[in-house]
Amino acid sequence: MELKFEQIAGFPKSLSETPQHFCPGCTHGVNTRLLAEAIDTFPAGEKIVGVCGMGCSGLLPDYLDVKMVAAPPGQAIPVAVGLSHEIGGKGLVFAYVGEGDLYGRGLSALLHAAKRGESLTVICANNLNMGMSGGHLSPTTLLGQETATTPDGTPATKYGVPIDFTRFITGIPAVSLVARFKGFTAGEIKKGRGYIARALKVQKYLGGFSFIEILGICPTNLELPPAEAVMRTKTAVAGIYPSGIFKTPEAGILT
Amino acid sequence: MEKKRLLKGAEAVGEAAIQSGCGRFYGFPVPNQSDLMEYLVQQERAGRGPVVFQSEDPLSALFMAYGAALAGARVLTALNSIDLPDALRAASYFSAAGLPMVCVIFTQSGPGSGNIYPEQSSTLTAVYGARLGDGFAPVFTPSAPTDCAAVTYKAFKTAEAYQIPVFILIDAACAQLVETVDFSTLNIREVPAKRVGILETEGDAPSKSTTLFLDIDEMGEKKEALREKESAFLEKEKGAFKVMGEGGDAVIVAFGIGAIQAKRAMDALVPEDISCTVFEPETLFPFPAEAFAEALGKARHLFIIDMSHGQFESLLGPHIPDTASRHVFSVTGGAVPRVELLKAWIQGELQSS
Ligand code: SF4
Repeated sequence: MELKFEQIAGFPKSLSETPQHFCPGCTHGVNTRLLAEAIDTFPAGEKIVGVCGMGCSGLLPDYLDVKMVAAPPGQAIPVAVGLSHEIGGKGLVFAYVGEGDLYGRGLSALLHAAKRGESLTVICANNLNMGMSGGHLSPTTLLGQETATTPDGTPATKYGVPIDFTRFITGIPAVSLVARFKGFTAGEIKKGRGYIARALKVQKYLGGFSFIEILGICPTNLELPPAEAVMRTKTAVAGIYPSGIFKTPEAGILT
Repeated sequence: MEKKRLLKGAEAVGEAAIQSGCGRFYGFPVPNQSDLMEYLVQQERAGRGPVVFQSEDPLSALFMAYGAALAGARVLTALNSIDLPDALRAASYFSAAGLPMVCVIFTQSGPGSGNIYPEQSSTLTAVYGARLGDGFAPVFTPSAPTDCAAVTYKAFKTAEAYQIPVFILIDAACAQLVETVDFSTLNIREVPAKRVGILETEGDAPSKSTTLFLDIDEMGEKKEALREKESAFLEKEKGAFKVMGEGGDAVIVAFGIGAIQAKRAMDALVPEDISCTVFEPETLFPFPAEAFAEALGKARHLFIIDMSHGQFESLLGPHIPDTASRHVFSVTGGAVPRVELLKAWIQGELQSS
């Protein structure tokens, strides 16, 4: 019998063929593809510039076939803001930054850019630890989570209870769109691609500030096989970092 | 626009930046810097000059400028010497990415918060700090408002010609000094546009800008290219300077407010039959070594006005021959070297030697 293959998903145009350095099972690979697919929803001539932060996301310029800038640690948002100011309505600017960078030393710039409603799409890759530095405590590390700097589990007594930065950003009046999804469950990945594309469209047509947080896994630093890392992370974030659309330009804050 | 304007040093920088074709200014309000920013805001309201943006902090201002420069803007930033380390960090990135920026550092007394009065104790940090990671940035040091304007134009020209960051160090006294600046004598012209922004770059490969190179060989090549750029820069740029007077009793070397006071002291010494030459370096990197050597040839006695604990003297050190008789006047804490004191010092030193 002759086997018939049908191509159900193509290779996104905006995804480069350069082999990625991400560890096996890491969500950065999924996120990169989602970004490429969201970019591909725009016509070929659309002018798009991406900015990445420091950390495992720092090599994104090699993996996306769009104009890209690698920013210094903590400075992805100021760099993106400067680009956005100068480019004006002539193109779209997005930033893809890990949470260690964005919510750590980049937090002030993020909140101020949000407060001003800069024309930007900001995507935070939140994998609950500083991956590239070797799995250290990050601003979103969960209570009890073991990291290289909290090997006995992250204690509230020393590091406080994690806060939901995404929810915090939702409350900023000038922000247009806020959403979060898990980059490691099939259903949410599909939705997530739509969120990113929608965020870029909000920027294009309304000049607004959109914020998407992608929850991820870092199997290497969790020291778990990817499938187990997915299960563990899914359970751990439940009720703490919920998924969904929290704000839209049409309806305002949703939940 | 009237050709003659009564301006503070900080405002003269702003006016020259406008005339040089600066497109964006990013800053954060701090003493002296605010005078520049407010001047530019007023001009923006009048429909001329760069788009002014007040950032949330000085570091953000520098990296917003970085983003805008990547998109093709001609950028100006300004901060206070307290935040000089931020500027050095940014300069390292501008150097690595090959992007032009003019950054004004208003220098005040330190360490710590110190006070807002003039001092030149950021000299070595600016000159050597820009070498972070082997980057490099020319350091201009104007004095009176007219010089602030002239140097600003040169700074933009240099930044664009070599695609590098350029510092202008202005002490708090020169920033506040007021004089009539006659722009018709300054030959300031808009610096020609040379760069295309990242959005406009064409070709098959979409353009990327990164300063992260994990491959050792690739990083080595980048550094080599930067070294060659610096060599070409130093080959051509021999440093800017001013020489005032041509007296043979003493050479006084100073910059910023020190140079203005040195010139006044020189004039005050004429009735005493002491003739001086004042050498004012207008760039500390590159240091105008040849011109300085020539000036030193005029007199055996070298008088250094150092508005820091020895930073200017140590910068001059390699350029001073053993045969010179060196005298140092150090004034710090925010004080301006007073003319009568300088006069008495030079007179006294010459008499006792
Ligand atoms: S260290 Fe973690 S975040 Fe970084 S690539 Fe590996 S799995 Fe992904």
